Amino acid sequence: MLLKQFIFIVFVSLGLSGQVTATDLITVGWLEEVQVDNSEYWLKAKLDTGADNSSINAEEVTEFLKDGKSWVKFSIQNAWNKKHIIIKPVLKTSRIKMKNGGVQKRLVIELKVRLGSISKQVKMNLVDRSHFKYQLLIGRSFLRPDFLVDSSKTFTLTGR
Amino acid sequence: MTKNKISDKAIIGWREWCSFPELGIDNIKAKIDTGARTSALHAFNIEEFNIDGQKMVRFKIHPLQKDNDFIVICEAAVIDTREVTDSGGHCEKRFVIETPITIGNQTFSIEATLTDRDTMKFRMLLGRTALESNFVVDSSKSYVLSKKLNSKKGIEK
Repeated sequence: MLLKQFIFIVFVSLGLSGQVTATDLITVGWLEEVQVDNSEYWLKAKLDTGADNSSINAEEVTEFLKDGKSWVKFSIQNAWNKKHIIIKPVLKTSRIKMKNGGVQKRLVIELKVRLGSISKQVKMNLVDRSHFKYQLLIGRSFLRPDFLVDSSKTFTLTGR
Repeated sequence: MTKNKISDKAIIGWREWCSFPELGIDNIKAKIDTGARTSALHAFNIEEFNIDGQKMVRFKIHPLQKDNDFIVICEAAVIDTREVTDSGGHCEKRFVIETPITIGNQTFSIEATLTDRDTMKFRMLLGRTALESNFVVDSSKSYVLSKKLNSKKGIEK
C-alpha cells in the first residue's frame, strides 16, 4: 500500500516537473530586438546557438584607468542610427583564435541584456562587427536555460 | 512570444551526433548553429570531376575531432556553387551538395557547402535552412536526439 502511494507520488511529481520545464522555455526567432544596458535603447540581435559568448559591435573604443583598474568607453549604433555610449569596467582581455589562423585581442565586459521578459547580465566581447548586418550577437551563455531558438522565425517579440 | 505553448517542433541540442548514409560517414559531431544560414562540412582535398556530364566532387573528412588518422573519402554530385561569407567576414566560393542526414531516428535531406578548413573543432555545422521546418534549438542541452554509435571499428575491419 505504502509502495503504491510512493509510486503514485513519484509519478505525479515527475509529470508536474516535466510540465514546468516545458512551459518555462520561451521560443524566440533567430533575430530579435533586445534592450541593452538597462536603457530604452533597442538593438537588433542575432541569436546564435553556434557561439558560446555574446559579442557587440563597439566603435570609438577607448581604454582607460580608473582607481588602478582597467575601464573601457565605447559607442554602439542601432539600426535606426541612434548612438549610445557605454562605460564599463574591463572584466578580462581574451585572445580569440580566428578561422584564418590569426589571433585577435578582445575586451570583455559585462552588460545587461533584456530579451522579452527576461533580463540578464551577460559577458560581452567588444568586437568590430561593422562588416556584419547585425550589431549584436547573442550566444548560448545568455540563451540557456530559458530560450529555444526557432530558425524559421524572426522578431517574434516585437513584430517589426 | 510563444510562452506556455509547447512547440510542435522537436527540441535539438546545440551539439548532436549525426551520420551521412550516402557519404559513408557513420559518426560526425555537428554544431547546431542558428547563426549560420547554410550547413557546412569541413573537408580537405576537395577535387572536382565529371561522370557522364554530371559535375561531381570528391573530398576527405576527418569525422572524429581527436582522430586525424581516421579519414573518410566521400563523393557527391555538385548541385551548385555559392558565395558564402564566414563568421570572419571572408567571402569564398564553395561547392554545394545535397545529401541525406540522419540525426537520432530522423533522416532528411540537406544542402551543405564544402569548405577546405580542416582545423575547425566542429567538422559539421547544421544551419538555419536545415533546421527551420523540424527543430527548435536548446542551448543548454547536447545530444538530445542522438547518441554516438561505436561504428568506427566496423569500418576499420
